[in-house]
Amino acid sequence: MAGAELEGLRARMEKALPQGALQEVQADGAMQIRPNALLRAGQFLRDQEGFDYLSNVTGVDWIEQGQFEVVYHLYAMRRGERIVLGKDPDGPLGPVVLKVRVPRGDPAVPSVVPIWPSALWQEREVYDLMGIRFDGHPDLKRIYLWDEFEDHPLRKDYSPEEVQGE
Amino acid sequence: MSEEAAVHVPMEIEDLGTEPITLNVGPQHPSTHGVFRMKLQLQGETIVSLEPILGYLHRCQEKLAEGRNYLQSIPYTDRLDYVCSMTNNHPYVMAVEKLAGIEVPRRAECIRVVMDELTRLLNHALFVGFLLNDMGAWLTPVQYALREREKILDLFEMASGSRMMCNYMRFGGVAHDLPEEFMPLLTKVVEEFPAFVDEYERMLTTNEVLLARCKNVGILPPDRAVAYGVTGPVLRASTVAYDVRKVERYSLYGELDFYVPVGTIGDVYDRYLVRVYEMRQSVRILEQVMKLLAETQPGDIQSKVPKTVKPPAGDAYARIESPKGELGFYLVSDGSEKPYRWRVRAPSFVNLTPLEEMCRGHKVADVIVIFGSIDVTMAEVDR
Amino acid sequence: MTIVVPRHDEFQPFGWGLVKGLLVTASHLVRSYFRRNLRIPGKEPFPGGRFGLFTVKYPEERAPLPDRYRGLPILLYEDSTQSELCTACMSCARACPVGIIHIEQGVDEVGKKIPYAQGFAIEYGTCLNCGLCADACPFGSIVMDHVLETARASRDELWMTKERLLHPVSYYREIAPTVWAEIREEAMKRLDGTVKRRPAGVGVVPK
Repeated sequence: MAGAELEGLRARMEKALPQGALQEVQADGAMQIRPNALLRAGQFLRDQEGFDYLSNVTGVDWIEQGQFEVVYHLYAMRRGERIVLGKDPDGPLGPVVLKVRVPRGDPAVPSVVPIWPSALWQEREVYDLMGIRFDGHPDLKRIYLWDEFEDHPLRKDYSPEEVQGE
Repeated sequence: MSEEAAVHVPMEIEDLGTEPITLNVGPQHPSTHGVFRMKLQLQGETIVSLEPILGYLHRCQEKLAEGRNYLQSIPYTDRLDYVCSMTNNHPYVMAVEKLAGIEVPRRAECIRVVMDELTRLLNHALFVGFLLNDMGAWLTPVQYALREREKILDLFEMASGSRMMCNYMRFGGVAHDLPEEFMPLLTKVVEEFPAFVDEYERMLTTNEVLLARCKNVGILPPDRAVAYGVTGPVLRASTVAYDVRKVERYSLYGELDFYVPVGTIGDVYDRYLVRVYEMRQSVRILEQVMKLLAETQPGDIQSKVPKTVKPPAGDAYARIESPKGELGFYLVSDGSEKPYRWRVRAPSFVNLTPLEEMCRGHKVADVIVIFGSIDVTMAEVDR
Repeated sequence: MTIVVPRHDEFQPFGWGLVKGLLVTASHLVRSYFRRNLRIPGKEPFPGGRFGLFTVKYPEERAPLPDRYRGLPILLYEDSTQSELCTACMSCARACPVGIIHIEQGVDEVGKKIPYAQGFAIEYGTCLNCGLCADACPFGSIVMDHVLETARASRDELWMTKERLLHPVSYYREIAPTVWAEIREEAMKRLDGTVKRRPAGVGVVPK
């Protein structure tokens, strides 16, 4: 999503969110949000703007910069449905890309499960493989690896030589 | 998550001191489409809660891909959802093409759409067969489906070299051109498939046993489906008509004319019917693409791409409508030949999230049918 | 744009839904004796042609495999001069996703590298059958064989060295003519240059 639609969305978001919450808008349209404003932004996007479908939650390990990043891809499903039914969508369809950066030492991001339950297992996966904690998640435990496993494999400094368990 | 659930689960039966039991539907089970474990809390035969446990097929493909260059990861994408390997390649090559700005020639787009729709036929035929298998119609519908699948698998073997792990799409097009025997056999498949679907429906759709087991079982209301991020035939059976092919119009789908089947209630029967009707629509799409393919020149199947692709730094997300739902790849590149982050948005993984909500209040035997109707491949869930 | 799928969900009298299904299977019971079985149009289905119900007596009779079929990789040597096409350029070793191709380049008397693979080994046990090695080879030397029975009695037998991998070009031309026709011209042109740069007698397969 780019151009006029993105500019309009950015202006509306800046008005709705507290000062400084929207840190940066990148060249391809991705919006970087402060972690403590994530829930406000999510609520605004879902209720006022109609982005009701969270497609993807990804964790990225920027080890050189000492940060973790969580990337959210949002689409407007009910507006997309209007296209399939042959009507005019009257609004942007997405994707809206939200990025949240947290320091690597103590990564904690508020969980968006109260807003989009589709993040229920995807956040568990990011926690399991990257080690980012999601505050407010109803059931944050490992999903792929067994519970006694200690490291987080997708981190860039994970070394697979020490094999754990049986 | 709604306390005011439609079905009242009795916690105690009068005059009998009952208590709930925990039943483990273990990882090795013939009907779990892979290795999947569920811990069921039962009161008699009724389900109180269901806890799914995943990870038995976890190979951490996302970490493996960070150690290989972009071309070497294409065989790994085949092994994500092993039933639909052509559609697994497609969003990955689309994401790299987005990152690196590579164009795709028209003949290659036509071939990609042909392979996508053939995969949809494959998957839906197999799904119907195995749903009936889970219900107890032991292998008769499976054999009918597999007989039609054999023709399509022969097509794949002719074009790419392998029936299952096709490894056929490349950045900027496809790997090899179609051999001469491909078009006659494709014409034969397209002519014979509608008759097969009609016969399949005659055998199954009004069958009393199927109705008794599928009607009003595992209903997923549309607002819960949208909230859980469910996509694909499960979403369309719950009356939400969202199809990535019509919304994104990627590849050739903007020029093609087809309907999107939508259900009325959102139970297992609707999901079965939506997939049967999608098979008919796929045949319609194939007829149109075959005409478009005949207009292109043979030979122009891949644009000029360097041997080792090094996309510029940035990120891209590409998604398609795979037979199971929305399959997406999110790639982050740092300018080198190996990806920095390689993420698969697997449809089976997200579609499995509302399993507990769909199953609460039903009997144990319904769990297998509901699970089969979501059409999951554990290799995609666990990656 | 959308169709609402029609639900035929009332139970019909006399169990008619079940009876219809049984009629379908019964019709197949009769029809299968009169069905013509074709596999790939244009290619002979099974030796002798087949009609009705039959059993393919494997392994004496086999279904035909298409030219592009990807079995396991093999090396080629040219028939008339018996020279190997492989120049140890390492393209296949670099292209392999699992890293199972191990090549050692040959040297001549003074220690200069020559286009000849002194040692060449492939681990058949780990091969993904992806064909990326055959796609990457610029000399047409490593190609995909049409093998189906790939089991061996022990793990050591799956470590294939060059003598067991070498096959003549005539063998490959017979099993995959269209694929060989695509790479033949380039391969033969480069073979001349390769043979010139090798010392005499090096890279020739003994009869």
